[in-house]
This record gives sequence, C-alpha cells and structure tokens, in this order.
Amino acid sequence: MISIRDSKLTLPVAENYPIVMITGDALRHERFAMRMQAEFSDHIVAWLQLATAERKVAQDQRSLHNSAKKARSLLSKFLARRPDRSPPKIYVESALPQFGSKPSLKKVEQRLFGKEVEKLRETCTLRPIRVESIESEDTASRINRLKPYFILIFCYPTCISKLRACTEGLVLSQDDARTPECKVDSSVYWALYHRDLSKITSSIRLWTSGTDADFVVRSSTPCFAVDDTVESCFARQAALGTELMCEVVGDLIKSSTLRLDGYRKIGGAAMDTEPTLDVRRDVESDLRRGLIQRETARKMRF
Amino acid sequence: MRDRLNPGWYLLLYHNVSWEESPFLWHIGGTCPPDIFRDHVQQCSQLGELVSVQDGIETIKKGPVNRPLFSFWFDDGFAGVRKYAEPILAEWKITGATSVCSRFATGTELFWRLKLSYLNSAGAAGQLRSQLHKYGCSPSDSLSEFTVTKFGPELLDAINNLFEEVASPVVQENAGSLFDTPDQLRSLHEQGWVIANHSAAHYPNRDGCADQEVLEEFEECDEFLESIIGRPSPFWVAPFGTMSPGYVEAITDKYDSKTIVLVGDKGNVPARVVSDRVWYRVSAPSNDRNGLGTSLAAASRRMSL
Repeated sequence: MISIRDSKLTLPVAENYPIVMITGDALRHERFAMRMQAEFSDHIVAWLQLATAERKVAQDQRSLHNSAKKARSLLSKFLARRPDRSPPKIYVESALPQFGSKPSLKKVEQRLFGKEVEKLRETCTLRPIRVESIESEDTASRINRLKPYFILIFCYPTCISKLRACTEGLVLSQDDARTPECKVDSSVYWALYHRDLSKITSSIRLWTSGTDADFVVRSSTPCFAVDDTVESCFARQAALGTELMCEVVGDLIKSSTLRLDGYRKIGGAAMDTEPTLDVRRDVESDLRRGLIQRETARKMRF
Repeated sequence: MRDRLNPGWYLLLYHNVSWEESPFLWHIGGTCPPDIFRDHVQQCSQLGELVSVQDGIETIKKGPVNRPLFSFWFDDGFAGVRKYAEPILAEWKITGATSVCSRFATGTELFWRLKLSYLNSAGAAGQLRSQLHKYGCSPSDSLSEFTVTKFGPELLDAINNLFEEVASPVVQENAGSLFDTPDQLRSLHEQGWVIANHSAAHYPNRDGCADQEVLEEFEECDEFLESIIGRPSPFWVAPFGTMSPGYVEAITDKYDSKTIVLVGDKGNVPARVVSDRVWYRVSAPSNDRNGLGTSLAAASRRMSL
C-alpha cells in the first residue's frame, strides 16, 4: 500500500521492481525508453509504443507544412512580379518564419538528442511493442500479465484508470504537452510570452486514484541555450523530464521512499489556453531579438 | 578559424553539465546543456587535437607543439559532469579534469553561492540585503558581487542562517546530490580523470586575507583527496578563477609540486606550461553553441600576453 505522509512517499518493499514503459514514437520518446534501459536494465520488462498520437500530430503538421509552402510560393511570386512595390527586405525576412521556415520539432530533437540516442541504441536491446491505444483491453491485459511494479508513461495519458489497476506499485508520468488535444506546446509559448523562463518546467506526476487527481512528485527547470526556439525549449523540457524520471525511480528502487518537497495534489487535467496567432508572433519576434540571451543575463543580475 | 588560433594548450573551463538548471544554479549560471557541450567538443576536434590533461602535459614535454591542443576542465565537482560530460568525452577517447571542494563532496557544507541563488529564487534576496546592510550593502549594490568582494565569516553566517530559515529540510537534504560523492569521484579517478583541489569550501581569496587561511583551505582539500585517491592533487585551482600574484608566489614557493590553475581566458604557451607552474583556462560560453569560436580566438590573441 502506498502511503504519503509528512512529505514522504513510502512504497511496499518488493523483491524486484518490474517496469513497463509506455511512450510515443518521437525521438524524445525513444530517448526516454533508452535512458530508462540504461539506468534500470534489470527491471525493464516491456516497452509499449503508441503510434496514434504522434501520427495525428504528424498529419496536422503535414497540412500546416503544405499551407506554408503555398504561402511562401505566393509571397515569392508577388515579390518577383512587383519589384517596384516590394516590401523592404527586413519585413520579408521577419514574415517568412511565420510561413513554416522554422526547423520542425523533429529536426530540433535530432539536433539535441540524435547522437546521444545513436550511442544509447548500441547498448539498449529491448525493442518497442507497438500498441494502438493506451485504453484498450488488449493493452491492459498485456500489462497485467507482466505484473509491473512501475508503469512509466511518456505520452499523454487520456485515461489512466485501467493502467492504475494493473499495478500494486506506481504509475508515474512525464508531462508531454504535445498531444492530439493540445497540438502546440502551449506552456512554453505562454512562459515565453510572459518572458519568464522559470515557468518552463518539467514535472513527474504520480497517478494515485486512476482518475484525474494526481501529485507532482518532482519538478524542475531546464537549462536553456541562447539560440533556443519554442521547439528546442520544448525538447529541453522533455529531456529534463526524462532525467527527473530516472532520479525518482532510482530513489524509489533504492530506498522505497521518496522525499517530497512542496508536492501538491492537483486537480483535473485542465487544457491550457491555446496561444493565439498574435501571441505566437510576439514570442517568435522576442526570440529573434535575443529573448533567451537577455533573460539569462537578467536572472543573474541580483 | 583554424588559421587564427595560435598553437598552444587551451584548457576549456565548464562548471556543471546538465539538462537541469535548478533554483540552486538558476541565478548563478554556469550550467551547460549536454547537447551544447557535445557541439563544443566537436568544434574543438575540428580546430585542433583533443587531449586528456595528462596527455597534454606529456605531449608538451616531448617537444614543440605546432597545433592547438584542447582539454576540458570542470570546476566545483558537480555530479552532472560525471553523468553527462564523461560519456561525451569518452566517445572521443579522452578524459577531463574536475576540481572539487572537499566539504561539498562530503556533504558537510553546501556551496554558499548555491544558497544565494536559492534565496533569490525563493524571493528572499530583499531579506538578505537588509541583513547585510550592517556590513555596508546598499540597495544599489549587487548581492551577487557584494558577497564576493566583502566575503567574511559574518556575511557567510547571514547567508547560512537565512537559508536554513527559508529552505525546507527536504530541499537542504536534496541539495547535496548536486555534487559528486567521494565514491563517485574515486570512480572518475579510476577512469583516468584528474581530480583537482578547488579548496575546502570555495571561499574567495580576498585581499587582506592571511596567506595562511588560503593555504589551510587547500590543505584541507588535499587531505580529503589523499583519503579517496591515495595522494594529494598537484593542481590547486583558485576559487573564482583568480588569485593575487602574492598568493600564487606564496604557494609556489612553499610547495614545489603544486601548479596553480586560474581562469585568465587565455591559452597556455607550451614552452611555459612546465616551467611557470601557473596555468590559464578559457571560460567556455556554457549556453551558447556558436560562441566558442569567439572565446577561443580571443584566448589565442591573449596567449602571449
């Protein structure tokens, strides 16, 4: 029986701690699975990979990409035909990124994690099992048979109750804001819009009841680079979340307890308000004008 | 770029390497994300030869060096270095050097600058400023700078007392995990890393501070290093990267076997590395992927100064 008392989470001691991981199929998800294997190779019993969520996002991105392509082509034609009425170059350059010339999240992930994952693949042998849904009976019975102590989730868990019933131990999840329901990493946008880097955080959630109620057991802020974009901030958030998960699971396996500081019980998974186009433009413009560099310097002036 | 770098030994200085910048480091900086560190190593490999610190010394002893040599040095003993930088350097078949403060590694004291950052994150900087008023801290003073320039036992007490009041016991307990433990340092040493002496607790070498105090800080750390790796370190790395010429002279006079390691942001002239016993390092732009070239070019220009 799990107990949370006096800022301390205590677990029933087990002989071994079988771990089942459930992830999406982007590079950040693969990194998560590889890092877990590198840290807890003796405990990992299965890696289930959800294809659906990412596929939907990819489809959305494809249509966005096609629209961007058309917009760029129209803009180029307009500029070619009417050189006398061309807008100043500076306006054109600032307008182009809004038509999809930014590197995609996929490219950013490749830049940040590509080499690390390549190295991890050399030693991690467990391959993913593709599943269509986290909520299906098939997935639940598959997990049940494995009798996991930990279920670690790195994808958007729409319904956790079936998973919660599969373990006497813990269901822990790493936040992954990019989901079918919430196509943009809104939290990153809003933090950047308010020019507050400390609001870009990574969290590990503990699912206790199987419904929406849960605890944040560990939370911290990523380290940024001066040339970061919305996408790279998001990727850094994901990388840190994975490291926090390693720490939390490692502590629990080692001592069956976890000291919680300022942990909080949070309510239903409320959807962040989607940033509107003007918010996005402001953020992109701020980033182009060196927002991260300025904020990094500012936070050290005290 | 390669043409602009003078042949010499460039010791690149980092502090922590990690995906995380917790409230303990948020306001003092110095954390390099692993992807940026990986890029920096790659860039250096294209500009010259990557060498471990020991190999750098051997190469220089063998004869004239006609290319830039690069080594990687990490101050303060953060655990992130072992976790993230070590595997990246291992891919290039080199090791680095880590300078440790004995009290941080043993957990007997937490780095006071980290406490300062935490207090600022927790919104207690104003409270600290009021408490430091009696030591001359004015509202226009930067707390970050004031605490270094006016450092002393009373000021340290003020920081410690407020930290204990503001930070919960869990936070205080968890903060220790930011640093490598003696066992972890031993494992780094066994992998060929240089474990250097960064004093007992990273107190600034203030002007007017007795030479003896400075020496005691380093001697305490040397005793610790002897207990974990079997011998004291030949490298004494100055806290905050600087040391007045008087201290440098006092130390090199008293100890034949010690090399003083400073920052200085310049490369080392190979011919002087062994004879001078003072080495300089170049502060790497820890969160700037593209800024390394500029830092190295400046370090190359300053090298002969």
